[in-house]
Amino acid sequence: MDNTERKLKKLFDYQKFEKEPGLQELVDDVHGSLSGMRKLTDDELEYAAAGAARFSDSQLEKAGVNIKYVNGKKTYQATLSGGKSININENVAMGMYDCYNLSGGTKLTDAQLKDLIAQS
Amino acid sequence: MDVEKIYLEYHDKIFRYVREKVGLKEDAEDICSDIFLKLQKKLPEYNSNKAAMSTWVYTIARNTVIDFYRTRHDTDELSDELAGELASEYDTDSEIMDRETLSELAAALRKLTDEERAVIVLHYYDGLSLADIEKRTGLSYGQVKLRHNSGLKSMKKFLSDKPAKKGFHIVKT
Repeated sequence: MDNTERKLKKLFDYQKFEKEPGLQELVDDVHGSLSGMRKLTDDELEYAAAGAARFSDSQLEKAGVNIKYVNGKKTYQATLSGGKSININENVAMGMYDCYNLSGGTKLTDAQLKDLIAQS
Repeated sequence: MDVEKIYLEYHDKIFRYVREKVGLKEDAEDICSDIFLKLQKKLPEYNSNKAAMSTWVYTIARNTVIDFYRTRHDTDELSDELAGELASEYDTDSEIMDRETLSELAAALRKLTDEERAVIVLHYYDGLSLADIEKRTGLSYGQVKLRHNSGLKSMKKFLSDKPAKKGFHIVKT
């Protein structure tokens, strides 16, 4: 990584702390234009304010989450032991990574995944 | 400024920043407690001529997150730039770490094309690899790489045109 890249990463990391409004608007615009993001409902805002975790696609994939973009919208799937894929929501996807991380890198069994879905 | 005022002014910022870095809310809360203990301990040494308060608080927060992962020997989870800090204890970039520079960065980014801007934000803000960006944007890998290189060239010019401020340095914690 060269000096420019290093400084840029540092500035963006500082932005995660400082949340300068002009730059944050630009970042949000980029995210919004790519994901077809809609305006959040009050329930979703409350959830986000409570501190919902955000992980990168590669982190989620390590935990066994399959990520696809359908019409610009991010969708999540998990694969059961028999090879069948099931659709899951973002909470379950994040929960899969949390469990993967806590267990030191072990993916969920089918039973654990079903429990997680039931709880979400 | 006393630590209570720092808590009132910076608690939400610190918690939100740390929460983005760690998976579990409980870990984030523990790290925030550590940060405020460090701020309380180091406040008598704080010199406003050497670092803006926000930069100083941010640096302590960032280093505490790094220490958290280092203690768990979990450096795989760190983003590249934080992982780099494990090896380097001295940093001379604090002169560019202020709101004014962030505002100027936004202005510089607006001069890029939409695709260049998207690639730069996704790679350097979100930490996505170029391969992840390919999936996310629908651009080919070659196109992502081209947009990255051209966007980075503009960013290099922006950063090299920034005059250095004297006297600021990163606080070692």
